[in-house]
Amino acid sequence: MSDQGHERLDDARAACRQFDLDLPAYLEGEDRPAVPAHARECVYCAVLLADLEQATFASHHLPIEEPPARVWANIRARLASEGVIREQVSGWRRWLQHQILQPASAPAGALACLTILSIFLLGPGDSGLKRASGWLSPGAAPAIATASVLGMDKDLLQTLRQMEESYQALEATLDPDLKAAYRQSLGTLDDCIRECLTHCQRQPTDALAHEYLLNAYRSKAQVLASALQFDRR
Amino acid sequence: MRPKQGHLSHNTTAGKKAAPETQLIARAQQGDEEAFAALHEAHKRRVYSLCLRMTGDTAEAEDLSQEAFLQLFRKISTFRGESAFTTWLHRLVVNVVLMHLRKKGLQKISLDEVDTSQEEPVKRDYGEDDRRLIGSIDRIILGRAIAALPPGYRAVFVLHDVEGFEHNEIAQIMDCSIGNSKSQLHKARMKLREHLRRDQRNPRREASHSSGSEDER
Amino acid sequence: MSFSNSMKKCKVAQTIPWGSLLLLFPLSLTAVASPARLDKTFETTSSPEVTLTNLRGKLVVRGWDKQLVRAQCTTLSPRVEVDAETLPRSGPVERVQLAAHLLDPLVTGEDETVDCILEVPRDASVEIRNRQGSVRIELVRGQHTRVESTNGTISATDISGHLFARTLGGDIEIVRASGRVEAFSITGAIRFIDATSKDLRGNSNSGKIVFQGDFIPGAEYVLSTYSGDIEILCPPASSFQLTAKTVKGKVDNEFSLTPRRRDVSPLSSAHSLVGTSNAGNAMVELSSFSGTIRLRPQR
Repeated sequence: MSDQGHERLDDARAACRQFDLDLPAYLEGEDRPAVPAHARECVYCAVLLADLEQATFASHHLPIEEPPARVWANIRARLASEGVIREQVSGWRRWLQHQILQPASAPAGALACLTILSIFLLGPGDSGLKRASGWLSPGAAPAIATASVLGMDKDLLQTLRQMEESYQALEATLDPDLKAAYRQSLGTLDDCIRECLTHCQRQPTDALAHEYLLNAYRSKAQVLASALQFDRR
Repeated sequence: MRPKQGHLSHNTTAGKKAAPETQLIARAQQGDEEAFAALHEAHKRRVYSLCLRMTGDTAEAEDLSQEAFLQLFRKISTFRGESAFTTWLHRLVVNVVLMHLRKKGLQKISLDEVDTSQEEPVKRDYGEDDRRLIGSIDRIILGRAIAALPPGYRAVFVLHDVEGFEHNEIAQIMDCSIGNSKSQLHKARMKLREHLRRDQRNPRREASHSSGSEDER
Repeated sequence: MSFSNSMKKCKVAQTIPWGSLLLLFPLSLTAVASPARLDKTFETTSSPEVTLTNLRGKLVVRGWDKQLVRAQCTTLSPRVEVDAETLPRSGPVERVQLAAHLLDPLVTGEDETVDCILEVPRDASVEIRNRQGSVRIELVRGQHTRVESTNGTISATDISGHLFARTLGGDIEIVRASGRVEAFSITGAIRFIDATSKDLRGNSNSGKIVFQGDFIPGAEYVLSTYSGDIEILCPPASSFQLTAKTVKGKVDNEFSLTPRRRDVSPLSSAHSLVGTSNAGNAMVELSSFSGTIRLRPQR
């Protein structure tokens, strides 16, 4: 190559180097007219600039992802179990307190709803797994809807359902001793829930029984939260 | 923060009008469950997206989002308002994610890693593909390429180019200088471009990018 | 890893400008087939926060008069590691977080075992989570002490500050607790011995709850079970106001109580007993759905 040729090559390299130096600021929106000017002359730098602009544009337009509902369910259960969340007086308890204050106003419809609820909940299923999975099996949506009509905390019921689904997915991976401990605990709580519901059906104004029922649901949520929380090694 | 396309504020629970964030924070500091729920609703998507872009894995992103919010709500009483809440939150999220990546045995997280590769002139390399990145970039491929960036680069890139934070905000989040943030961003973009080009040349090769870089030079 | 090597690693780590607030150093071992012992000591403030998360094993936590946290851990498998994180990076630390985790997801069962002895400043706030295995904690008087185990037993002795203990299936024994106490189990039994707490709560679904000792004037005691029995053993001169309720169980009382006006809801079907023993200086609320509630003088 002639001296002139070498000189042109050196100039071109210098221009590309300057382009490289100015490029970050240009992409940040600063005024660097030399960048697009050089890109018009140098096919290599033009491709680099176009690549970066395209990648940045695509990245900026990546969608915001929606986390699954169980994330909040787990967070809420954990915060409640740690006492970070102040316990709210649930709709169930407000209904309960209302009934105690006005004993004569217990609506007949509430008794009918309890009956419907208990039919869903006390259905067949004696295997250990079914006992452990309790009443929140798929298809329990009508039971949840019914329970919420009674003023029960809909969020709690929904949370429980989601947590139970997550737990069922996890259970197969558990150590046998752990699995047995969780099954025993959940089974005990499910028995408690069934018995309380039966009792409440017969004596709908029994405040203590209602309190036990609510506590059983809460304890179940805590047990499920405990299982899900440890599911990371 | 620059507005992010598609990011809209959402209604809080029970159809109530969204309270100003300062009020929600004050109520959350008193243990108000509705305030927690509202704060989570307002920020969950950005937090989850950040975790997802950083890890490239939905299960990990779920776990990390959960952990980040738990830490946030446990510590919310310590928030004094010296920085914007969003900045504080994202700082916590980034720390959670980077700690997780560190525990997984990935390369050290350092914003001061010396990378001399970018000090040399950028190689202009193409044979028959001396065209721009072909067509629009597939989101899945882009996601993989982002996940393949070194963690330090990845964090700055995701915060700036995906989440829309400005460099002064990133500097607060990552506890670095604005200049550092800008320099890391450029390096991240260059690395990303390398991954995308490599992916384009070998479209059948599934993402097995290591978190380190494969220098094609 | 020896103490001196780990200190070097600390120093090396500190010179790297990580821009992070936490210093992380795993206490890992090279591959050896036999149990391995780790011993690490941290200089702390007088009331640090100490957390220990474990998968399986026996944990013992003791308060001592030094401003040091010492962790002595024995791992059964080289594929199990104990991470230690401290905050801040330099000087006496305010927080120590210890966590056992698996390096290999194929490690299961007994191989996950990590037994730990943890010595902490007496004023430390402690949080212990042991998925499987027992926890014994004593002589800690920090603001918070929280202990959880899934199916292991918890034994807490001479704890001041707020004590929170929870198991699914393991028994809980709390001796001479003087701060606020909360104990929960699903199927495990709970035993309170000589508590001087002013606020004591215990709940077990099917396990038995036993309270042994005197009631403190001005204190509040709330014990409840679903199907487990509740047993109170206290001196004959104990002074308390009692409200005992069951739905299907019974109340078996050997104290002479002055009847109070029944302030339980007249709509309840509970078998209830309300009354005052001596001057009625403490509030005692006992409830069980179907278990038996027994009150006996301790002679």
